[in-house]
Amino acid sequence: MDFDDSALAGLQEALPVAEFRELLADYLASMAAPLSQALALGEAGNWKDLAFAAHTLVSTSGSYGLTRASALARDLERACQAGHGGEAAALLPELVASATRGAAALRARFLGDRVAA
Amino acid sequence: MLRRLRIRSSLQAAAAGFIVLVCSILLCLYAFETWNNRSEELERAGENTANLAQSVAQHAEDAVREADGMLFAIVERVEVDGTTPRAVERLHAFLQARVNTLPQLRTITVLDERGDLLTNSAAVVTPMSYADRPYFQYHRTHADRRLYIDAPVRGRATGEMVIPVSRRFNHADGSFAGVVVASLSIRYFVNFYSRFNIGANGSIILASSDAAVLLVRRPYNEALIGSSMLNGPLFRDLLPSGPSGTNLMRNATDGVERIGSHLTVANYPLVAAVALDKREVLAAWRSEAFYDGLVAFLLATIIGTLGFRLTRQIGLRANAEQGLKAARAAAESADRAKSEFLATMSHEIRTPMNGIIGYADLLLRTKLDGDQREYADTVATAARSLLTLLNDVLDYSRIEAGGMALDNADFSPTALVEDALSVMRHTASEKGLTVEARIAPGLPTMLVGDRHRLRQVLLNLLNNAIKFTERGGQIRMRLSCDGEGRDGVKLRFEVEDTGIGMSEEVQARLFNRFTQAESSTARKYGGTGLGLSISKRLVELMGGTIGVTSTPGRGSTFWFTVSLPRAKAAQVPQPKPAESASPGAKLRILLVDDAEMNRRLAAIMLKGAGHTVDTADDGGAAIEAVQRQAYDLVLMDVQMPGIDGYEATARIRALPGAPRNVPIVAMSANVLEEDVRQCLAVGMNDHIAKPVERSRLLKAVARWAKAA
Repeated sequence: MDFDDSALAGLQEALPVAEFRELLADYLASMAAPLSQALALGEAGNWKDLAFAAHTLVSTSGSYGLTRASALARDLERACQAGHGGEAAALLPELVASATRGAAALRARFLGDRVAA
Repeated sequence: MLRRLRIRSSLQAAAAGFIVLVCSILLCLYAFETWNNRSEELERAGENTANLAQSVAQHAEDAVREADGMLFAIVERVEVDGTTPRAVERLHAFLQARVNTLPQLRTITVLDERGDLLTNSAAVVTPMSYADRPYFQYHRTHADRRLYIDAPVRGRATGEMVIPVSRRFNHADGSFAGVVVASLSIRYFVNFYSRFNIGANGSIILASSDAAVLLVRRPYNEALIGSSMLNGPLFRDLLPSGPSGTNLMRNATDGVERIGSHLTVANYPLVAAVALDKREVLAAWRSEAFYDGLVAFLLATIIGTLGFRLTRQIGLRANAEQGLKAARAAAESADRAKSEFLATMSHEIRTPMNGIIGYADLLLRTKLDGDQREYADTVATAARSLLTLLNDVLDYSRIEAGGMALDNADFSPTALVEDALSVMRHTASEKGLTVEARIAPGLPTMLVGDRHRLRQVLLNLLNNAIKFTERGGQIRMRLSCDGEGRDGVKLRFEVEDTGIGMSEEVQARLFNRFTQAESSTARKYGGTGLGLSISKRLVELMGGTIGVTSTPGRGSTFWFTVSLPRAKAAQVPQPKPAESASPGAKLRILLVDDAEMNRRLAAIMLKGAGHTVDTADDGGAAIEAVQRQAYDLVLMDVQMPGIDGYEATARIRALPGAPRNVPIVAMSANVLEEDVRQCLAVGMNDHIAKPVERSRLLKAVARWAKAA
């Protein structure tokens, strides 16, 4: 599952609607940069820095309900730390795709946007 | 505000009161002086009239005494020679010879006991009777032989108004034999009185106290000569009170108020009186008083006007001060508003800009045709330029407004260089550049300075070096010590590249704002031209200097120096167990995480539970924060660029005093058992796995809550 809303459900209840929506909108705006950076590091074969970037994606993705992307990021981090470049290169597009789908689901669930077909 | 208004009002009231007091004193002084002058003027007038009355009396006494002497001589002669025709003839010659010896004397007349003329001083004696004259009646009926001064009459011989002054003479047996009369010229007295300056309405009077009639008067009015004065104020009011005196009286006839003095002549039945018109007496005083009053009024007006202006000035100054304070408050408020605006702009624009850049980059990594790729690339490049410009403008605005304050704290210069390099290494490697750092041996481990600003300058220099160095080039970063002085250790940072370099002319203006080497450079490499200007300002703010040496085509070396004091020696940590838990207590928490969205999310969760939260974006900032502020708990991310969570914890545990005892809970995506063990080994007290879940986070925090 790309998106699990239970991670945010408690927060939604605790926060004013506008603040909650702003937080999610900001996350959606910010999530592209580390994904893009991860892709660039993968293309460059910089597994060390990619491990660092993946580590950050583990926590941020998971915190906002993108559970599959978080898990894939953890796998990516381990692959990079282990120096398994091929595995890492294979995980990267999967990670980006899952994060993209998860973001769309998050947007649809909490921001009222339609999920792209 | 109310208090200021009261102070201002009381100040103005005091000033106004003082001015009124001064004006009042001035006017009172004027009134007192004027009244005093008036009294003195009247007193002087009284003295003048008394002196004049004395003169008039003296003159009258002299005139009468001389005439009386003549009368005595004639009385003796008649009483000795008798009134035989021969004696009368000799007497006539005598009278003719003596009548002109006195200027006041007009005629001398000798009457027999029937009142018929015996002889006189005229050349031709014409017989006539004077039996009806009051003085004859008086002497005939009064045995005393004193001088009698009668009412003026028109002389029968001369037709001139004269004053009859007479004595009786007797027969040898003492019986009444006749009267000798000397006629005194009224003109003689009038001429004398005309010499006195008594004003237009002044008067001089000579009266007979025998007949209570007016003898002479100035101004001369013949109709009044000889009139009775019995009912006038002189005889009715003044003489009964005393033989002399000075008084202020209003004349019933002309209504004029006069200051007058009267004096009874000592040896003769005469009264002299002189009066001056009070208005004329006070005319000079009135004029003087008018001008003095005018001066006093003008002075009071001037003082009042000046005072009013002074009061107004006080009011205006108070208003100005108030205005100044209000303006200062407004300026401070505007400054705060600007800072808030800048902070808001920083967040509100940076976040979506990062989104645009991130998604544009992602888009560029998808399958795109040529046009689509070019458009996406343009979006990403433009967004990056805009974000850089935004960051630079915000920084520059802060510096220009003086709002950039240094945040000095202990930091490791070596870690600073490593941190900066780690940030830029990826960008450099993307461009095919090699980056290396050379740190001179023997540098102090810890110094006191603003590591964020130093890092900002270093990153800017590194960014420029990467930007202006072509693929395959080299970038070297050096850190050395240029000695140690009173200001501390002088650090020298250098960033050397093998880039395009620049001419001396360009170097000279390089640190000016909005300056780049050439316009073509800006087009090719982008950038706002603010970066070096900001770096220069920051270095100067830290008391250092910045410069460059460069050779076109061969590369540049940017350098800057700052003197920083050494940090106090850290003590060996004495780890203490964390304090007892008290679920429900509200804590002051320091949240440390390099990922902004993680920080925001965790901060919202913690604040929602009632905790107070400060944040730090790396280990160095966390070390500084715990020294500034006492925290109940630190939530520490482990993997961060620069000083990571492990090192930060170790350094906090090495701090002197209370900060080293703060409970630190790891908050990390490293969840393996060995990771947790390592956290505890460096001094952390607990571990929370990431991704953070609200309930788990709050439970972990509650475990470390102190007793409220």
